[in-house]
Amino acid sequence: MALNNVAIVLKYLKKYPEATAKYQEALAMAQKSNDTFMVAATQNNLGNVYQLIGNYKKALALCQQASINAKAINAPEILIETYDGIALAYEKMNQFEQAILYRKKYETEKEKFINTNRSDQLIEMQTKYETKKKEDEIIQLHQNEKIRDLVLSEQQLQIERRNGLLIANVLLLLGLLVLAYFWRSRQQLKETINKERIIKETEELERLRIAKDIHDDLGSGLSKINFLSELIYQKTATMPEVRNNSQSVKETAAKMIENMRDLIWALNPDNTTLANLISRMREYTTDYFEDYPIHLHYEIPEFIPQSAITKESHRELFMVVKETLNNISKYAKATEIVFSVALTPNELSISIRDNGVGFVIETTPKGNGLSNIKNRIDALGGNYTITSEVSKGTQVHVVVPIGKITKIM
Amino acid sequence: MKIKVGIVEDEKQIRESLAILIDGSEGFSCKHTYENAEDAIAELPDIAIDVVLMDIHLPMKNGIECITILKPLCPEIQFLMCTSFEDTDSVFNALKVGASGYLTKTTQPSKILDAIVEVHKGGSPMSSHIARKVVDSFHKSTLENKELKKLSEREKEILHHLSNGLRYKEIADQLFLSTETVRTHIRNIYEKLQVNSRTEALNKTFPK
Repeated sequence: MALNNVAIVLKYLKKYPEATAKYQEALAMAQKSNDTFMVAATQNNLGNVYQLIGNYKKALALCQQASINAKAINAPEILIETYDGIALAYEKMNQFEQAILYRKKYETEKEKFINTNRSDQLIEMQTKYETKKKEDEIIQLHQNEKIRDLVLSEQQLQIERRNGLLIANVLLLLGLLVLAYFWRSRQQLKETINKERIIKETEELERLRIAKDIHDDLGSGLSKINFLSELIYQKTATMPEVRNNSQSVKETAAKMIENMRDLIWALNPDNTTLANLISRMREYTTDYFEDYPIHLHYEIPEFIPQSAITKESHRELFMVVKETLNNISKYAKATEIVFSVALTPNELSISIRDNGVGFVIETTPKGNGLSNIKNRIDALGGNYTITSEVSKGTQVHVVVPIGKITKIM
Repeated sequence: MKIKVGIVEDEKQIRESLAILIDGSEGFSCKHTYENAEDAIAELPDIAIDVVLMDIHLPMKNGIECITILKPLCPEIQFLMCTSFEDTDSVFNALKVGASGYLTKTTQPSKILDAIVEVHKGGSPMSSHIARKVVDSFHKSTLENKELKKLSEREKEILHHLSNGLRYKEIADQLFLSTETVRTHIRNIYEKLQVNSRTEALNKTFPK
């Protein structure tokens, strides 16, 4: 190629012999490397140079060689040039028929080439255009697809969002329903509890009213018996039998009055507190032994809570004290009594100790009184014990759990 | 000097047997008995009487109303409120209007005589539950109304011991006082109670 170019330059410089030499060199090289295209082209070029120096025979020969090669490899551009070269050569050799023939060949081939070229170009352009169009279409399609995808995903999102909202709403509704249900059942429970409480209170009030009526009646009757039996007693100093009977009446009345008093006390809710129980026990004990030559010691905590206790436990515990004091006054012949109360968060314990004659527990028959008390205290969940030693004294000890005697409000 | 006792009681047999019992006892005389409040109000201011046993339940005006009317008219008379059993509320109300003490008709008659003597001497019985009510009442009323009389420290102490079930003698020992002094203190407490109660009643009738 390079040699070809040099040759061309030489040709234009009209240095024809050098150009020829160069062309021949180039030709040899092309032939060696089997480059048929270059061979054809170089042959043609060489032909042209021979033309220019007037060697028409060589020019013709070379151009014909070139034309054959060009045809073989289907190189129309070279073929056309070769025809042109051949035609010129024939023309210069005055072989006009061949010259016209090859001139025609040249025109035809040239036309064909241009057309082909043109149509090739056209086709190329068309193809390019079509291709571009197709590419654009493809791009457009892609874009459309993208848009569609986006729209779809957007729609999906919307749907999901809507679904989510729906589910949330439904859950909220459910939640509210559940809450409403619970609230309602709580209200109902409250109502029931309230109703029950009101019923209980009304029952309690009714009970108190009835108790008050009874106590008014009984009170009046017992007061009468109280005074009248005293009168009879005083008036029958000279009638011992009648006096004895009236004495019995007096004593019976006194016992009944005593019981009534306890019952009525327990009925008043203000009274049935732990503190009231203890102070009442103390008061009672002091009054009981007022006229006896007995020294009373009290060991009672300074502070006792005003916690409400049940009427029953109030009554039972007070009974224990009364019964114990009765026994002491009847049998013990004591000169000292120690009354102690101890209170822990869990237990109340009461003990009454005397320094009297004592008794032998095993042999002494248990009167009804004692076993009744023991049963009652057991029922309260407590413990009643009595210990005694002859000539040393007796101790009564009661322990009850606070929980069992506390009133549930 | 015999103690002159009057009785206001609507139950005939109680009234009569009580009168006989008291009149028949050494040192007492009982010549005036009434079966309703109205008769007592009509007569009592004009006769010399030391102690009156006043039943709470009376046919028309009740015992408390009767004392309310009579006390100002007969300041010298000691009124003893009578109930069948200890009716703390009624007793307390009676104490507020001027009763000096109370009695239960179911008490042994001998104890009744003792109570009459006691009240005549100037003492006023107070039990643990009455003491508690007194404490509560003072506490509540003086909180609401600054004008009302308050309890002194000593008085509060005595009430406290009474609430715990101590008797006069025990309190006297505890506080190194005589039983008489304790009784006087209790009398004073009752008087303050009565004064306050009157003030409160006035305030209700003539609100400021």
